[in-house]
Amino acid sequence: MRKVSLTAVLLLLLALAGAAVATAQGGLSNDEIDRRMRAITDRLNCPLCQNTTLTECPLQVCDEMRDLIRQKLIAGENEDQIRAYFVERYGDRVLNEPPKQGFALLGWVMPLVGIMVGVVLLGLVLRAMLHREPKQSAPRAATVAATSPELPSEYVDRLERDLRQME
Amino acid sequence: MADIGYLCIWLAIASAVFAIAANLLGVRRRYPELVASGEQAVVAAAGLTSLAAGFLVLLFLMQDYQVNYVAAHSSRAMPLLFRLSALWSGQEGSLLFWAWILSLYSLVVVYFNRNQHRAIMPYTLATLMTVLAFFLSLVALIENPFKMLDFVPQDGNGLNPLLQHWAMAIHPPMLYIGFVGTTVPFAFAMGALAANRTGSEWVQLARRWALLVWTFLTIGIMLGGAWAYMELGWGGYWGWDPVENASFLPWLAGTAFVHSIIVQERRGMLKIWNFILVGLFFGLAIFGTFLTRSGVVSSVHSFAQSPLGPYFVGFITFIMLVFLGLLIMRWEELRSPNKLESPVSRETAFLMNNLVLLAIIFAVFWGTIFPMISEIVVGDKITVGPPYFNQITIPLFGALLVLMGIAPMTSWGRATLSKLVRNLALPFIASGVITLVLFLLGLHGPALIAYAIILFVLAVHVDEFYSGSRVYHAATGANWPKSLVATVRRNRRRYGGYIVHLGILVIAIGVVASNVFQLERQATLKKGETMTVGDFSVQYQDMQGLAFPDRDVTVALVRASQNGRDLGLLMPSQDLYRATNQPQTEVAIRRSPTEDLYIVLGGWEAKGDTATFKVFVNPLVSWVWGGGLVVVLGILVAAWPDGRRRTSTVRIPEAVPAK
Repeated sequence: MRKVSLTAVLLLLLALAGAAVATAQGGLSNDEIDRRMRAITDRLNCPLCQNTTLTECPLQVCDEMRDLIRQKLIAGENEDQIRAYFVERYGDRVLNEPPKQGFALLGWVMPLVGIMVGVVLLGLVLRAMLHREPKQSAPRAATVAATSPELPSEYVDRLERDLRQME
Repeated sequence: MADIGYLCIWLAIASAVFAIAANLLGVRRRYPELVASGEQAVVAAAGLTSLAAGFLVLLFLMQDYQVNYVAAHSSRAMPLLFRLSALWSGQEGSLLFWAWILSLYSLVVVYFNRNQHRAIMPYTLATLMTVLAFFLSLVALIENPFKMLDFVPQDGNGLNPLLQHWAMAIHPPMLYIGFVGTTVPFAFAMGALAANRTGSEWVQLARRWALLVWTFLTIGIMLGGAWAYMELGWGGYWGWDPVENASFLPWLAGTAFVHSIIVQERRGMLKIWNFILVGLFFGLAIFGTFLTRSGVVSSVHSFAQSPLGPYFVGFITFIMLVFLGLLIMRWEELRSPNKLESPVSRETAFLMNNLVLLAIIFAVFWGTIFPMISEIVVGDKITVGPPYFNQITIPLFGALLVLMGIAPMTSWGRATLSKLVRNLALPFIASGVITLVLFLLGLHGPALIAYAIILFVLAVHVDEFYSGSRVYHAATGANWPKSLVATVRRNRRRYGGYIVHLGILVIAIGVVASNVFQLERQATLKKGETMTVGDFSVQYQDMQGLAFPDRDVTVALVRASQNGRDLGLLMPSQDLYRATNQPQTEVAIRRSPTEDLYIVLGGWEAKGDTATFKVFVNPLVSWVWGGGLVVVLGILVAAWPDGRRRTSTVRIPEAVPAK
């Protein structure tokens, strides 16, 4: 049950994210246009300032860009078309996220690779730990005692723990 | 006086270097007197660093504008609080402040361990003093806050108006106390490795410090968010700015560490891994300082540009190499003799938690440095902004929450899947029913999924509190509230941890709502005109100008109402600071538990005949701050020292775990 619900939740999450992007346009209410405006301006940058989204930037240029986006939305263009328009005019720097092509694609791919490597490593470690032969403690303790003049840490642990229980 | 301050820095460096040498020599050659003298040198270094910082504060209070740093970061018109906080508002002062906090931490470490942990203390102190000496050298050689001008200016430049805010006065110290504090658990780890005392001793020491440091980081991050919310005027509190990420990364590593050490305490496993995590905790905090201080990433926060970069990189590399070298030396010694007994045990849940946290760390780290990499490799400085971080981390945070729901229901050691499913059934069904109700009430989309997960985790935690209290109730016949309190008191670490989880859930509820259901509208209004956003109406009434000693303030008076109920007058304003001629918006916020009305004065024409407002309705933002308080409360419950009784907490007599 747990497995099913987990996968279902993740799949649903992906599906919905996709659906949200692909929603068809229709006669749009003002609120809907505001909402889409925000979605678009959050993902675009001011072409002049650094690290300022189109949502926040107070410059005249950005005011005009926002008006243009509104008109395009009313005219029925979707988010992808509007983004493409601005990328063509100002280049990739207008995007608030790395473009999904060329060298910048590495920005997107690496975290996924990292996660996958992590999953594989964890799987291997878990398997090793599950099938580990319990070590004999005697020879281990002997080697420790031979190399270190102090008490082996395992014994110190044990001692500490027992002392704590006595308190 | 500035000269004496500068001299103090050099003397502090000398003390720190002596402390390193005396501690290391003393412990290697077994001269207890030398170790004792090294310990005193730590105290001296702390005293001298404090003196240097004190002199700088004094120069600010005396308004000695011949000192370059004072002139650059304060002015006569500034109130006392900001004159004090100007200490850490620039590069030079921040570094000195960093060193000062570290020296105080070292003092506390010396004090608490003066009679214990004698084997690892010399190495621990040597580590602390190495870091201190590094930061003090930066202050002495590159970024000297005591540098004098050859003339005496009439007045200073003043503080960046963005920073003149109460949250900005306490946010940096909180964050710094957190950043700097990561050095302490790291130093204990170094001590344990160098002294070859790699058992539970250092874990006990590091755990408390890590929790303390984690708490300060949490408070610091929250205050940063609160500041951004009140000052930046874009309606949000978190923008994945590189410097925000810099504070978030060590927080995430700390989160992984405080979870993972539980496995070592309970089962004696993951010893190597815990060393790696504590190294990551410290390394990311230094990286964060580097990111903020070197100006490599241009962002809102990078007010300073300076040649610190190479020194930081060199230092991080050096200390990490020493650490890894020691770790490899002790590798065989550290390998856990214990076997993982079941793939559905608590141990596995903690490992998964670590995996997800590390994935988030990696993604955030990569996104933060990718613009630099891109600039170096292909010469293209691209932006990696919130859309990137949201798309990559939101599913991971979802997975983390799911684990937070499953883990408390797993058992240590020989766990079985059927038992886990049985434990999860009730919370799963309960949260499922509420989710269905939410769906029928019209909630759908990603928000529904998010709330379904949050509700599930909530149900699991309620179940945990309930079953604990039930046992006590049945055994003693005490009433329910009493049973609940008694249950928490008897196992404060566990239930304190759960309270922290509840706080995180409250934050999550607020974050989801304020992102998904935020409303926003911009309009230009004539006097007397009204705009509506959601349930709220906002009427522009009048505009007034006020002159303060350091700034001119233009205040718009707007009357707000919700569903016809009058909410009174709100006053969004814009400040124009004379020293810098920078305008600065002051947002007007009317807070309530359900939503904030957030009004920004964007601009005006014809002396205020018309004014432009940006109005946001931000649902449940108060929950984010409230959740932060719950988190801190949980930590207090979990880590409040109470002497001997602390040992009666989770430690079930397990003796040496399965051989």
